[in-house]
Amino acid sequence: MVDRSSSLDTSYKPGSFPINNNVTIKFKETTNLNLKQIACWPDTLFQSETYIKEKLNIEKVPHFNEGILNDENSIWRIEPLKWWILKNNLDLPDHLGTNLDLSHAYTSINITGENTTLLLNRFLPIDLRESVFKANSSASSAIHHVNIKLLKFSKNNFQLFIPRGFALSTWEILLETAYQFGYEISER
Amino acid sequence: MSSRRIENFGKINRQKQLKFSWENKNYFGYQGDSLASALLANDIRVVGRSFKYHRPRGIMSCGVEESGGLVTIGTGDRKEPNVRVTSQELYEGLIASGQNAFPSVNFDLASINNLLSRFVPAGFYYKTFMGIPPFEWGSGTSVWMFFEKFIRKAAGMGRSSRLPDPDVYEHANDHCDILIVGSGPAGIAAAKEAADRKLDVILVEQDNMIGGDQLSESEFNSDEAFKELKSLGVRVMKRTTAFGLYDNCVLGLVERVEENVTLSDRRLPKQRFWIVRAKHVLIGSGSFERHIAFNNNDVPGSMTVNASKHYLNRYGVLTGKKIVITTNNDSVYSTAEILAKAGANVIVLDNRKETNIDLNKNNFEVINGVVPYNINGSKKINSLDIANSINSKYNKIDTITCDQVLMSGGWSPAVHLLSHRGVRPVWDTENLCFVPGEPKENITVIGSARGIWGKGDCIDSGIAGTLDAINKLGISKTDYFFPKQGGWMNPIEPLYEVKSKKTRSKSFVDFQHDVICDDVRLAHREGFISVEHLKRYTTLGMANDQGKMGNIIGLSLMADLLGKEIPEVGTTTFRPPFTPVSIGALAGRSVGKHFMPLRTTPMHAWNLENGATMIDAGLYDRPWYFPKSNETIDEAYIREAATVRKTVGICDVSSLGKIAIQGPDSTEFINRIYTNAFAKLPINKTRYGIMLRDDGIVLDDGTCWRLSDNEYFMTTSTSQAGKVMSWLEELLQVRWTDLKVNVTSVSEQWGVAAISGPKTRDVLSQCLEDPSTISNENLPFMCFISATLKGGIPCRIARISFSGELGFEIYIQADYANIMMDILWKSAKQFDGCLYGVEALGALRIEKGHVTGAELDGRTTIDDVGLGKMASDKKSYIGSALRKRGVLSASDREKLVGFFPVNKNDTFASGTIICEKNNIKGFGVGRITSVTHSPELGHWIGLGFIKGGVEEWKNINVIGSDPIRNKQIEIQVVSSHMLDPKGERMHG
Repeated sequence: MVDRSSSLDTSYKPGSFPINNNVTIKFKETTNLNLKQIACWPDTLFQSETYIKEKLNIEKVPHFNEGILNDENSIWRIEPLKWWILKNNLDLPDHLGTNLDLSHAYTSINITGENTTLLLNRFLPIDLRESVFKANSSASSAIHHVNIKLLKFSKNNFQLFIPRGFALSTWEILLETAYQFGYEISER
Repeated sequence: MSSRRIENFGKINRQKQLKFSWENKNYFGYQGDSLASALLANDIRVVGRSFKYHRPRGIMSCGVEESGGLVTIGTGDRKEPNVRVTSQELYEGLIASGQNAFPSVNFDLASINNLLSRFVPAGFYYKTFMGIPPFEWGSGTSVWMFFEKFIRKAAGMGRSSRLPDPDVYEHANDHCDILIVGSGPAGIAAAKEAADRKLDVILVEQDNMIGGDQLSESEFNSDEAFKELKSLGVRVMKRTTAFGLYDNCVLGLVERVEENVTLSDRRLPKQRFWIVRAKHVLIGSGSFERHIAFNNNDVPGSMTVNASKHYLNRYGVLTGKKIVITTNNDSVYSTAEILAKAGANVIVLDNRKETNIDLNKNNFEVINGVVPYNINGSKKINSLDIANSINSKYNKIDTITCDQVLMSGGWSPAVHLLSHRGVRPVWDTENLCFVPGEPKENITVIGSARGIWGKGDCIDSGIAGTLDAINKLGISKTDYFFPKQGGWMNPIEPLYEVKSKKTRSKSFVDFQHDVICDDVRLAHREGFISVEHLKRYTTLGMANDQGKMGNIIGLSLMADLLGKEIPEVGTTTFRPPFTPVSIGALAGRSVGKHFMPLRTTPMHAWNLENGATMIDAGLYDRPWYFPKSNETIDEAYIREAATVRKTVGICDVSSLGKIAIQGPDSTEFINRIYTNAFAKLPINKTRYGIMLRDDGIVLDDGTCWRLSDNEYFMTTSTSQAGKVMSWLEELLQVRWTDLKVNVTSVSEQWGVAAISGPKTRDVLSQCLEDPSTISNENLPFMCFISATLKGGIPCRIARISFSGELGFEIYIQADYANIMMDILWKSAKQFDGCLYGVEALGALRIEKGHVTGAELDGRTTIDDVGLGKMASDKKSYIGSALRKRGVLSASDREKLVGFFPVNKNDTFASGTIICEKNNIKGFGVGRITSVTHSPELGHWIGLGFIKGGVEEWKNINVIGSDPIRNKQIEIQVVSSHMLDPKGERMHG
């Protein structure tokens, strides 16, 4: 199989871009994304949760706008009846719900560093304070009118999902904004 | 006025000298200076000219209420007019100049307006264009058009740069438990109390130092206060103005990020527009000292009393040598003492007959029972006439030689932010000011904004404000009380206007708009007695001043004229912004290339590498055409379209909307939304479908593929993709909640290439692992199949044609799109194929009579576009009932047709109106929606609508009228299927 390309290929320039000798934000694109969306119906929610717990060997299914991230699993409930699965290859049976591959639909960027929250709040109206938006939280919002999904892995460690077609434009405006904080783009 | 810098006063850094320019001359100030204090320190008296009369104006305050010192900062693309000198920090290299004056503010030719003032009273503007009685001579548009350019030239203050703004602005969001507006004693106390209780606190201060009115106290240390708050975890935002308070404690803030330095790095933001969502808001925005209206109260050297104290104790500038303070309240006495201590000769005129002030008055004189009557001087104060009052008549009794007149007619709490929430202020008869009403939201007013004058009481009110917030937020129940409003030893006495005996006195109410007391009286005489009418007739309290200085005086005058009390007259509504917000801050980063987010297809980079000229199509950047060397767009698209008809062409059509429809009720769902039957669509078949709106008008068209029993793949037009997706979501979430269907946009998941032309199968066969996949038997028209491109790349291939030629659409997972294009293009080149863009795509579809958004424009029905046969009579679907309304099925509705020019060399444009030959007027009988040169037919063609359709216009030519281009040509009406009407090519 041939290599996958990224929407950021032409503008992804790894390197360090400090300001006043400081780098407070790091970007890294997550390439070769593996993203599956599974969805159930209101009357199959309980069964679906049981099925997911069994198949993924987890104690409980995350609540809406929350996720579970560990060595084996990365599952995020991005809508009340929809989950994103980033590591495993789980399919719901037809009688419980539907499955959809979205691996090419998004450009995914990992953003870390002490000023990550400040950068994200330049665009997002979400309350990202540590006490409110805790680790393993997720949110749907918009950057520059473009719908995005945001997952929080840990303190100052976020994963941003941008619709592929808007990724180039969003990437540029993120970098322009991050200039004031000093940033680094890691090798993919 | 003779102002100067003095030793032993002020908080400026005298070790750091800053050079600045005023009116093309160089001066020096110090770090910590405002432009106002630096100008005063250099004894510059006249800094502006008034709006209408062009009277010389000096610095009149020390804050955002400044009405005299409005200047222009910067040059070239960084020129910014109407900047208040009191709010502008001094920085090295600052360039400032006067405005609204020619040739300079010191000598302004337009000051002749002052002599002609009797001809330009309030409302002159409106009256001028009503004409001169009794025959209204001069009324009407032509007179307005004549005078307009002169009036517009004369109007306004400074002039902004016409060059693009080079600076960067940005938006930001934040959240907190308590947001405190203002860092005066109340604000700081509130912040400390809240931080002690482990709340997340933001303290907003518009100044570059915290402290508010305490900055005028010599003993107050702003840096220490700042450090203490920071150590407590309070987030202090200096240089940040809360300009608006909105629903649910949402505040709009503007932060002047780098205004104190010349930005050498233009990538750093100059201003930041914040939206902060707080759980509770404490407003400690302070209060404004009022002036007093009397003749010539605007001569440079006039100033509010507290401002003079600020200049002395904050900036080390003594604003006068011989100072007269005029007042009706106790607040001035501490200032009088300090000014005298600094070396000024101070006289206090207190209109109250008796006062009991507990201060050392040995170093200044107090005269009770007298008021200011008239200032003598023009560009500077020479002396002040004073008067006494007998039965409300003022009589001049003496003249005092002086160089400065300080005024204090009382204090007005800054209730603006609360007014933004619709909370009416309440008149306090004891303190002669409007105090805040009771807000219904989580908002508490503290400090002097609440009408509390004493510093100790303000601190107590700040603590009480935090406790109030804690109670309202349900955090804890704590007893608290707010100090009583007021706090002076002696009651204030009304003193709004000292009416002059001169017939045409200039007693200014609103300095910024040159509104004088006589203007208010004129408004009353002419019936504009409502406070809202008064404002609009006289412009009192309009523009960036927003009534901060003269509102109460204007109200008191109207109340007096009406024989009412001030609260009966009411007050105008203060609206955001509290102080002006630059357009750049509002726009943020949504300028230039980021004006809109750019959307690219997965083949974007490939298209550019292969020579595409791009065009904005909605948010998409799409290939417009692929020019060979020196080709024009016309030459390119005609070549491309001709190549498609002759051999083969490849086009990026990834912008099509794509929606995954999944679930056991998907078939039922699809059958309800399309006009045609989908219930029995076999797996691996695709069908063209039309969707209607509820009202029977066409919403969109597209194809729908059946992937399995319970899964479909829908395509929509590029322009309607978002609308269709929202529509399907709405149907499922609101109307048909019983259906088990999931819809998900997969537009970004798939890249799509259309490959069209007689050689298409040959080209595509070379690209597939198994060429037989696309044989006519395996993949007949309107079917799709899963296939594998060479290299093992999975794809879906649909036998669909938009061009009318043999055609396929290849759907590929987006990350493989560039590789797919490499494979297809390599093969197409062997058959003399081409790449084509949206211009050729349009030409090909117009030749075929295929409709797009130009025809499906929200006015047309399925019958109008000739697809009525696709509307099922056997099922119910969205729009099925209302499409049968008489008006939508009338025989004279406009129907889709093609248009040829009778003279084949003629061309016409989209939007051309189709008229009968003998009746060329109005809306005509039809319209042209799409045009192109047809390479196949060799002449210009069009698609559009005409009443009755092609059958009605057989052998009857019409006129294409283009009034915009002043053009009329003879046109033949033909079938919309202008090429291959039987579709033999695409079935080939």
